[in-house]
Amino acid sequence: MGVVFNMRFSIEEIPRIEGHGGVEVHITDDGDVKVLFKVTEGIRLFESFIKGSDVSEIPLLTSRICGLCGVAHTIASAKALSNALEIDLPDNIIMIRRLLLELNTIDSHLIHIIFLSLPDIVGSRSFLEFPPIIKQHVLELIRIRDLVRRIIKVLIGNSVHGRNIVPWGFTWLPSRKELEHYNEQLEKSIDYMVNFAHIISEVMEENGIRSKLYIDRKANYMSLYNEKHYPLYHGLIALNNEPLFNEEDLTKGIKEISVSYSTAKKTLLFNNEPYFVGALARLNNNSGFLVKEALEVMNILNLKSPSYNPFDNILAQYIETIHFLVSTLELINEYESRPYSVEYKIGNNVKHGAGVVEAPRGILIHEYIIEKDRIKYANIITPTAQFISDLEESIKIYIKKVTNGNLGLMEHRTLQDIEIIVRSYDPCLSCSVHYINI
Amino acid sequence: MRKLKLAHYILTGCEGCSSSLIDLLVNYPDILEHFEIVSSRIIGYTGIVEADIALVEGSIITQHDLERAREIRENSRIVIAYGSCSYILFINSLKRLVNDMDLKHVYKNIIPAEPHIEPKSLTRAIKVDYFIPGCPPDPKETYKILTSILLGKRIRYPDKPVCYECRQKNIPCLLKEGKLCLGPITMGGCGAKCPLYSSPCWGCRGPATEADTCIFEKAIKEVKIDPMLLYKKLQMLFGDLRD
Repeated sequence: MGVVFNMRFSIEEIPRIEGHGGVEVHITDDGDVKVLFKVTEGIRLFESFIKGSDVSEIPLLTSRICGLCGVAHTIASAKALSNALEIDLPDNIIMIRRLLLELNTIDSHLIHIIFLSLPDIVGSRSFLEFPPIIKQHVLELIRIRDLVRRIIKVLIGNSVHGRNIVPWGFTWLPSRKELEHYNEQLEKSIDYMVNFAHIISEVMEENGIRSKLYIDRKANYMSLYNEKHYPLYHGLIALNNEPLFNEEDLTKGIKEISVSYSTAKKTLLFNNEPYFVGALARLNNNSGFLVKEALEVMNILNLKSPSYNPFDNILAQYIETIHFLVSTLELINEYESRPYSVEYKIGNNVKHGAGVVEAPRGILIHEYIIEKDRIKYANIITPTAQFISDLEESIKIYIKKVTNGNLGLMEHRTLQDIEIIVRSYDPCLSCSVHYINI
Repeated sequence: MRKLKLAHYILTGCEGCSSSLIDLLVNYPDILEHFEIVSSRIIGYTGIVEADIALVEGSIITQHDLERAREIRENSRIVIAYGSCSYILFINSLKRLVNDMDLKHVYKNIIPAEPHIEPKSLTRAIKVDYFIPGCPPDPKETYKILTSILLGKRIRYPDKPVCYECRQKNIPCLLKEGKLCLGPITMGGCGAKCPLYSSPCWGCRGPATEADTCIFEKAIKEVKIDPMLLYKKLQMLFGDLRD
């Protein structure tokens, strides 16, 4: 078969991702590969319709952007608004915000690992079809996720969309005792996850999936960084291990673009290069702050930092899950439920505030302009919007690798591999169209 | 007894209902003894297939959503509007307040190709047999409704509003504190969980049949709630019904 050019193929709807989206590949006459990640989620226009709303409602309104990482949106908006209102929050409230982000990250990572990505690693269509031995372990992971969701429910009244989060703290908080109740089960979960890492490592070793999907490249990665701990709430924004921006000027370091083929916006660095965010980016910037159990698993899974291989994002999620289980236990030990909110004064002047946190899938930016107690302007930049360009770039490199320059060698299997690469980024399309729901 | 074929479909929404569905499967494992999951993107089976029961979450926002909704209806014996976006449009009804100018503002003059239509709930777009309210639905209530269908029992929804449950539990009235709470006009059955966390009711369970509209109107007048905020909140509850 000769060299074939000018062909198109597409995956209409990728299963096992959060939201509706597909991939279109176009190989042009001159042999160039174009990859479009198309988000077809309906546009929900959050940024527009929250204009005019009361600041107290914004955390719970923006929670509805995403059912998997709603907590991250809630905390990002609360952070942006407490910054705008110049509220001096006591340490315990900030710590509970951090605790919530960690719990949400465990929840979201476990959903992604169990339901969305483990079937790729094991080679089944769904977790319902796992071999009995794996299924048994997976049921245990599902129970760990359920445990974490119970803790979230105790803290904010619901495991999906919380009830008590406002920019000046919380409307109410449970006592430490109600949380400590779960400590023993959390400790057991950590051991369990360390043990299961051996099995995942063996399975990957046997079927060679990781080396098959290896993408040889260098890329930019961005995440929070502070000098004290593995960050989800505190810190500067670091690009390739270099702390560069604070949250007020991040939007000067990146730019947003709209494209006609997708309902999600995309971002690029200011020099027009793509970058990735999420578990692997965080790990690349912060592996020095991992707890020993997480470092042990990093070793078991043979992950070296920095890694630029998209598939490794799943492993980074697994390692982070263990880290946050340990960290959550520590935060619960320091938990203080009072005061749960602070007095604040709404002034008359127009104010601006940005809040950057790490959502499970990476850097999440909420930015508001408020006048008195009403929203005048809102801008939300989600992790998925940020890594779409990098995702398209990875698929392009992968297609060139497997076809070795002869694009006529594209096979059906390549399409399945592309699906796996997309899933390893863990795109959240509900979020990406926040205006709607990418 | 034959297992009933259960399909789960997602239209436009946040997919928090999917998360709640997983909670259902984890906490009520006997569901899988009586129901066979034949479609669910999150579980790994895509496509619209023939089923006894279809749980449909999300709203109709695009033309594609509408076409899928119709196809789901044709292929399912019983269709359930699963969650507030599907049942009453809820948060997505706020999009009805936004005009094309705003779409341009968000997308900087490039409007994405996916054709958008006036947002609608599933209930208004096709014939729906039952609904499971909530943002997201409580797994316990989902379990109750699914097992009622299985056993051929009549499904009853609470008549009393959330306000009634607050009074039963002696939860201090948030309306009296000047907070815009939709408890008096929203269907109960949730245990007044938001007011329990000192957070006002947003009406996610839809209008109550025995709504305390008098209490509501009186309280709104007394505490002088900003009409714009009231309008937006009522839009979430009733916005789907407007043409």
